[in-house]
Amino acid sequence: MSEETEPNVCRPAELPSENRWRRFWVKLRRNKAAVAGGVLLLLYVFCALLAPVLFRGDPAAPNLILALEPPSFKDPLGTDELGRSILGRVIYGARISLLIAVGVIAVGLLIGVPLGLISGFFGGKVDFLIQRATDAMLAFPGFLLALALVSVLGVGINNTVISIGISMIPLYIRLVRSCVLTVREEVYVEAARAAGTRDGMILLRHILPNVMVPITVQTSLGMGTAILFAAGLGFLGIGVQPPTPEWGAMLGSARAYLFNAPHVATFPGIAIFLAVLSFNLLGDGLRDALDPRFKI
Amino acid sequence: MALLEVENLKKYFPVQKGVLNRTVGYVKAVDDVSFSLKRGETLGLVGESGCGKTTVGRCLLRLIEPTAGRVAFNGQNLLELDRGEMLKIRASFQIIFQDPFSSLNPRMNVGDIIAEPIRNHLKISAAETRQRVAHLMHRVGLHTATMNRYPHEFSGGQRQRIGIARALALNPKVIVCDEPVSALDVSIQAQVINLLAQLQEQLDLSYIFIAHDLSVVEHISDRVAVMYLGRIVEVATAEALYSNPLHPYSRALMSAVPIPDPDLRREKILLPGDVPSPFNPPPGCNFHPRCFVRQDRCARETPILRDVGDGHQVACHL
Repeated sequence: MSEETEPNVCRPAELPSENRWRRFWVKLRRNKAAVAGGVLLLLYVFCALLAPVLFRGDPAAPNLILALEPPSFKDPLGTDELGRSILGRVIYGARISLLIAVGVIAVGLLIGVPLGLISGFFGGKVDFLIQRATDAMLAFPGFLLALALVSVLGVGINNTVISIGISMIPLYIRLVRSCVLTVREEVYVEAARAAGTRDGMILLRHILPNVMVPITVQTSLGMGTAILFAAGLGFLGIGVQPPTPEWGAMLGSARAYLFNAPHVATFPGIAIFLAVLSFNLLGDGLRDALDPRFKI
Repeated sequence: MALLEVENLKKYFPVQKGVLNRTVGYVKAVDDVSFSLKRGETLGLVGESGCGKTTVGRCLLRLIEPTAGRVAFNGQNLLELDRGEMLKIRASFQIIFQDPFSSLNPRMNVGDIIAEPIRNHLKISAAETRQRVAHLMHRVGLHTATMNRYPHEFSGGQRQRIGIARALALNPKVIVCDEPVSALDVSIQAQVINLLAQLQEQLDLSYIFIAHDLSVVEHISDRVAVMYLGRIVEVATAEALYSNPLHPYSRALMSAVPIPDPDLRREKILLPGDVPSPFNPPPGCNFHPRCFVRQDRCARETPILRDVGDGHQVACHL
């Protein structure tokens, strides 16, 4: 039989196999904005991980003698109303903010993605129920929903994560469902059915991998939003509570000194701005790099 | 006894309108289709786009649930089986898809794609599975070294071979080939057709070969069924149909087959008008508005498929 098939033997494709990840990486690196976002994000991660090394001392311990000092050699970003180093608090704040962002996305992904998959794949009554619940949640602006949830759950880091996380769930449900609706009609899904694959495996092996790209992009953009929402809650005094160094809470307490010590509000504000910017730039870059329609 | 017997297969798609999704009518995609398939035989299924050939193929595997009818495989009616039994029977009943680009999951490597039916149906070790996949790849003429590559790294013909290997993975008895070569280059078409013919001989397969390319069908089929607007209008051996088509639609169809000789001219039968909508098919013989030999009764009575000798069946009053 080997003699018979020999003339039919196909050579592997002419071009050497181009690694998907390598290609993605090259595309991402050519996007200057995405690289800037990535570097900035790495800087934040670096600060968060090495906070105790970068800043010695307790960022929450007050020292009233040094209150509201402008930036100086000793305190590069000045001190706040309780005499705490703003540099130290911004560095430690990166820990809190990144932690919240990761937690929020975990809640959104773990609940939103499975619900979206089920809703899009099975359709019918399940879909109807999930979608009407999603409609109800989307009827509120995201921040308002988080605000309402926090007022029910109470303040603190955990509740901030839970309430912002829940407000993210409907976005994931909608996104995943709409992608599943396209992918489930693909011929390879039908082929899997013909091969005897059960629904659960079809979802896991055929549908989920093919909707990962938009999920990845949404995750990066969502982290930016999460940081912004957490800062908003902190600013209003119902998020992370002082003396925990959280950027939003720092802004909130600096509000009273905006005119005589503007540096107290400026630096946490810049920290929030750059963190959100880095996630958005990276998210946009990921979207372009993961889209096969954009050539290198 | 025939390996596969299809009787009065029907698939009506409901057409829904308005806010309440009220069913206002049905598209009769497949209407009263009956045929049989013997072991080792190839039955060609031809007809123009939208005539229901693909729906027939999908209904046989219950990838689309038929509205009514009977599909007997080895005497067992597939349409009465529950989900679990149907999953099992799909092992001997496989399908090759038309488009080799969309029928392979872009995020799975070739080895996993071919191994999928094996993993679903057989409890064998990973090493054995790998060995079987390698054997299948060799059988369809693919390098086993390419097992870890992804579909986008292969050409159209190679991808179709992957699809064939996947269909062969469980040693099926019947394979529905849904236009397996219409998406390929002509030179590649010949290779794939020859591969299919060769596999049929080696593995004792029966094919239902759906196509709109009449020359390809003539080459590979033992018998050919011609479909028009959801119905079979003529069934005959390939030679009989191509040399002596009886139904006026088949005659028009056959006159459209190109002859590879520029000097030879054949009289082409041009049909007036378009294919009527299957949502609202004409009464009686649904070909009669375009027929060149129609009579009064054609508009009233629906002709049934009758035998005119030597297994040549035709659905026409004349």
